[in-house]
Amino acid sequence: MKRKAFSIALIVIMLLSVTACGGKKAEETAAKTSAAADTETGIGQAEETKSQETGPAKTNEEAGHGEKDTLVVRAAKDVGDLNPHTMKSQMFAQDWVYESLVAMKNGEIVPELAENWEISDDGKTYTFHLRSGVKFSDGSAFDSQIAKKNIEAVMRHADGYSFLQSLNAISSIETPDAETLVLNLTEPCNSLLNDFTFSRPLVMLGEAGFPAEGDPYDNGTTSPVGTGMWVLKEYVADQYALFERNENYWGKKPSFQYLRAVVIPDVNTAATALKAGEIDLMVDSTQITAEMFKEMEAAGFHTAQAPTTSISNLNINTGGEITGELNVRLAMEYATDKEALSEGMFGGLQPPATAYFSTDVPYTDTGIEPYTYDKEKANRLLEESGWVYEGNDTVRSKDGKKLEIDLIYDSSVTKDMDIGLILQSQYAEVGIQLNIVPQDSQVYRQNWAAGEFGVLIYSSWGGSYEPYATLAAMAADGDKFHTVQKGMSNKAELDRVMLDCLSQTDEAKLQENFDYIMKSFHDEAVYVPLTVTTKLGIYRGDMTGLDLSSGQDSIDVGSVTWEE
Amino acid sequence: MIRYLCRQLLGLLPLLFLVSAAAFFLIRLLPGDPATAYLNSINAPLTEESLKEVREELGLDEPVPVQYGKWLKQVLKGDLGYSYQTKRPVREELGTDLAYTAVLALAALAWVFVLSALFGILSAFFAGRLPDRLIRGLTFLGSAMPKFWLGFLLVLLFSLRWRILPVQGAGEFKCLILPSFTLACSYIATYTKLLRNSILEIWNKPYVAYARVRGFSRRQAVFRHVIPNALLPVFTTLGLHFGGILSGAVIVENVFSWPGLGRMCVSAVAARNYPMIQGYILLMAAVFVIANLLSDVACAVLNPKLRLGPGAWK
Repeated sequence: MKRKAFSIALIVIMLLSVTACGGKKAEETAAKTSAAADTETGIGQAEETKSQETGPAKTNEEAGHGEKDTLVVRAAKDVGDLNPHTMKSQMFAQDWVYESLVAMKNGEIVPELAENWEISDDGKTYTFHLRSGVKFSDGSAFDSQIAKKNIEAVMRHADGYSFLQSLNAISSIETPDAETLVLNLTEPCNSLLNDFTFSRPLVMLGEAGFPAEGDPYDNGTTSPVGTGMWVLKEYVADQYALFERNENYWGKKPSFQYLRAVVIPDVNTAATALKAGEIDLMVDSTQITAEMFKEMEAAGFHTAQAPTTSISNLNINTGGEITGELNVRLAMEYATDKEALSEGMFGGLQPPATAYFSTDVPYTDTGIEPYTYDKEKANRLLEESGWVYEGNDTVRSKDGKKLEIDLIYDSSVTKDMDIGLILQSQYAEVGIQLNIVPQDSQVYRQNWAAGEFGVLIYSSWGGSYEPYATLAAMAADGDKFHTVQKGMSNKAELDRVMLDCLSQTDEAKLQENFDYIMKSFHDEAVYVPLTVTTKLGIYRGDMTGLDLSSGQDSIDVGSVTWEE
Repeated sequence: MIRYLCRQLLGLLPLLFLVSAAAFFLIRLLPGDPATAYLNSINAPLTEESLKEVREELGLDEPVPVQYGKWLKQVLKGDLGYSYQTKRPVREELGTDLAYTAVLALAALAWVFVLSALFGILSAFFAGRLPDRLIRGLTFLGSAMPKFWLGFLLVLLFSLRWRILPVQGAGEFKCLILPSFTLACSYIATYTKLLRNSILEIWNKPYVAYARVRGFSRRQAVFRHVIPNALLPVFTTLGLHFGGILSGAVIVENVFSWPGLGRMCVSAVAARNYPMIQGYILLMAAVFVIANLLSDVACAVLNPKLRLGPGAWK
């Protein structure tokens, strides 16, 4: 009895003392840490407004469904410093704050800060008529002068944005009046409008955001002032960013007063946080699986989906030892069952693709019939070129060499491994052995550029990059996109045609060029288009209106409202 | 005691020097080039010229030993260089994240202390009986369960079913409970077992029996002889494990969206951000050796034989 009483007392004492010390210590450190994080990571003015603004946002958040006026969204990564002229922030967050002259919707160019525009017949003069009465979030006016200042600041660092063809073509910028902006070009540049649809760097920063000396590109912004729907209010690196509705916004204002982007890298954690009511909405095109999407839908969450212009392609190394052979490449085209891949892996959410470019990309839908799944044809092609089964082998061989092909993929993209496994089983049926080799992102890119691979999985850039930035990369010797095509029989001519597309002003000639390019890709079997990347959104069952059509990298939350 | 401390501290310097050299040279053996990674990350063209420019800018154009010399000189001045990606000082970048990871690790340590002391002592007192068997079963489960799975299970119960703790976040105290417990779980199991066996072993030592014979009460024997001696191995291994807890938080940080060092380190490796990786390794090495030192000191306080050096006790 005595022994028992003593042991219990001992335990209670230890428990109390340690909990007290441990708990207090942790709490103290936590408080210190967040204080340290606040001062170290705040950016510009957002930091100063912080302490006084946190209060109302929180109380609103806690006020319950009906009155809740903060929309909480998942961000897979920290939103970044929101410098509009560098590539370091998350595009969706830059989209919330900044706008450009034009935007892209479903592959088409639509007006944004410019209401309309004219292009001269020789393609060398672009005249933009700016929307009148537009104000930045700080109340200053958006006019042709500030637009010119932004474009010139970006042009001074043209080397930093290799994908923007237009920066080297613009020779002068004129501002005849406050609402007219004229860009004069040294040579026609077909990608110019596309270049202005990127979330960065050709977007408009308010005068107050420019540093006293130098450009935002190297000296940063003093304050993230834009014309977009949202204004940054508070930011804690790696944790969250709080935005407030821009009351000066020219378009339809969002129904929520605040927007909070919470950093949750793991997609499963994000889904759980959604179920627990900690976040309201998540949008993603690579991490949300078909199972998760359907499970959440069944659990009463609302969902939205929209195809993007990014296509998951199998790139075949035309300069490879085995894959350099056209019949092997053609056999792979015929041996690929895209329907099974789309259904088996994505539950049909990502439909089968027909060509390297999405059908929404202008000029590229040339009506070429894609290869259809035909195992017999694949077998016949391989037999014809001498790849035969020896003895009881399940893998074909020729001159003692096995039909073995290395598939490399970026190990950080987990879905590519699953795609690889499905292709492996499909190709095994025609006697091709696919060796799946996961590689670290850097090594993968290095091997890709050096041509050290058989096949690889990569999703085309999509969005504003298509088609011009992609064509420029494909035609640039040394670029990884160029390496894939090196073994094509007509590569030299193809490069010439691709480069011509960048500045061809004759519509008929331009279409002819694209016909040639798409036919070459098809005939030479360079790419096996697999599936169309689809943007998926999951959000609260009592909310409605999520519209995902605004491009693959944006999270357009402006239209989300409570369900009536 | 002071002499003991000085001796131990001096021993640390060559160790840190070796670690710094190993870190510096080994990460340069990784395939992949930081200049290419940098240009890729800002979407700049990969030409011979641009690569050369970036290499010069990042100081990668010089021979590796020269780079090491320059870096070492900086480090001795307390400057760990600049992150290639963000251009901010490594010290600042690491500092913020380290604070979060340290809070997480300390909270985990608190769990380890409380629960392993509780379970270890209970287990030893009821050795062979039902509570002991139950605890041993639990420790087996605790050490065998993968962290990410345990994390999701805890979230399922505490956040989804009972709605008492948040799934993710870092700003508040309640956000700390689940991740720190998840991190602590396997260590709780280890220390419970360790403490139980240690107590039982010492309880059966002749000196405890002699103490009882000399008239010490049971309580006195436990407090004066059993507990201090049973804690010795716990402190020694805790010193070894603290670094492990700190550096092993990657998975827990990911599952609970905790903004710590683990996440930072993974992205630094992916981007071949040499200064960040070097800074991280050096920091971890320092934490490891300091934790070891602290555990040595704790042991020396508990056991005078250790601080006087070999032979002195005779």
